[in-house]
Amino acid sequence: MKTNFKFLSLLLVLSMLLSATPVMAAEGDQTVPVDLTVEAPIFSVTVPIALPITITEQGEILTSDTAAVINNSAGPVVITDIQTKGINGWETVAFGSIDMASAKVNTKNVSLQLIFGDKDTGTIVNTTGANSNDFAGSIRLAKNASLPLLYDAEVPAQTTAYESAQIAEVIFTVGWDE
Amino acid sequence: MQKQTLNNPFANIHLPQQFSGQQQVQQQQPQQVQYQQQYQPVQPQQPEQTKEKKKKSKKKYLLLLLLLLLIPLFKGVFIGDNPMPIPGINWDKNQSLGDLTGKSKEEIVAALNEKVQEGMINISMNTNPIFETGTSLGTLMITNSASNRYPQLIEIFTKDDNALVYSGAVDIGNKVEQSTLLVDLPKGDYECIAYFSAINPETGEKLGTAGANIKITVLN
Repeated sequence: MKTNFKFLSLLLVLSMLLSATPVMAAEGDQTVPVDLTVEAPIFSVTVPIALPITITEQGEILTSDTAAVINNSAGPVVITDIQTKGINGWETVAFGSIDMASAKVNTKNVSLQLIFGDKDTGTIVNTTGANSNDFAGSIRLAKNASLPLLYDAEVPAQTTAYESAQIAEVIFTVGWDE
Repeated sequence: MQKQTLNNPFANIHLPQQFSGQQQVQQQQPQQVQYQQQYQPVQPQQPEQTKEKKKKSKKKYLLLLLLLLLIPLFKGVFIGDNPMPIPGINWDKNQSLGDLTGKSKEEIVAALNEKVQEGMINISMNTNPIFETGTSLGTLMITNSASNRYPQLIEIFTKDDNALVYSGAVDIGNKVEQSTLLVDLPKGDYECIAYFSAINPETGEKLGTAGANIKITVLN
């Protein structure tokens, strides 16, 4: 009886020792994992799809001064591409190539200049010919940034009065700044 | 001795009254009176005299007005909207005063600014949608924000071969959480451009387009 009791006690002690082994063996470097869970980030950018131009009765070109590209995304984005092309019978030509004083009336050519940011220091993109322009880089917008977009155009005088006739389109392509 | 009357050469000469002494005295008196009268305060005019004067000035003004009205007659035409009839001339009844100056520069720019605001488009989607297979639903998470003015047509093209792999329209304020592709893409990653076009809700005409760089992942 006494022997059995002793044996059981020994067994109990041994089991305690064995269960404590991991703790007793915890020496040296410890690795504590940091888990990251990422939900799909919000990609949200607001861009203008209309850049209206008015030719006044005196032949002056007027454009809007409130266009902008706005980044509502979870991080910075970049404008990676800008397409400019004439539509409905119009052609884009190099900006600066139309002599407004002597260009033939009713010529369906239009040239565009886009200025992103400050009008003196911002990024300038000019049309360079048929459906092409000189945009070659990327324009960055920080998170929650609003980038002003000024633009200018050259259009020869037209004898027919138009109301919101689409003569060209500009497509901005944006993506994450990675 | 008799007084002899001296021969007065001026005996028969009678001076004019104004030079005679007595008469001078006499005349001084009326002059004095007149002098006094000059500095007497002016007596106010009688009411009848005022009325007369007013009538006369009224007549003058009427005459002047009449003359002014008659001047254009001699020029041949009235200043105003209603020309005087001239034999052989047919005046356009739709004419009105003024020249064609139109809107001011500020008004035109304000109208252009309004058009730009109406044409702003918000594009939003998951830039890395994942598809279990080429035919399963994928996490596109396209949103046409309630702040947009137009429904949107979303078209996704692969960059390498410009293949259209997705096309769908989303109404204002709606979202597409998951959807399927048009093409059964094999397993892999595909660099694509998603074009968001604002469309006329009545005709479906594209009003403007913006693009977003995305990557489609097909797991199996």
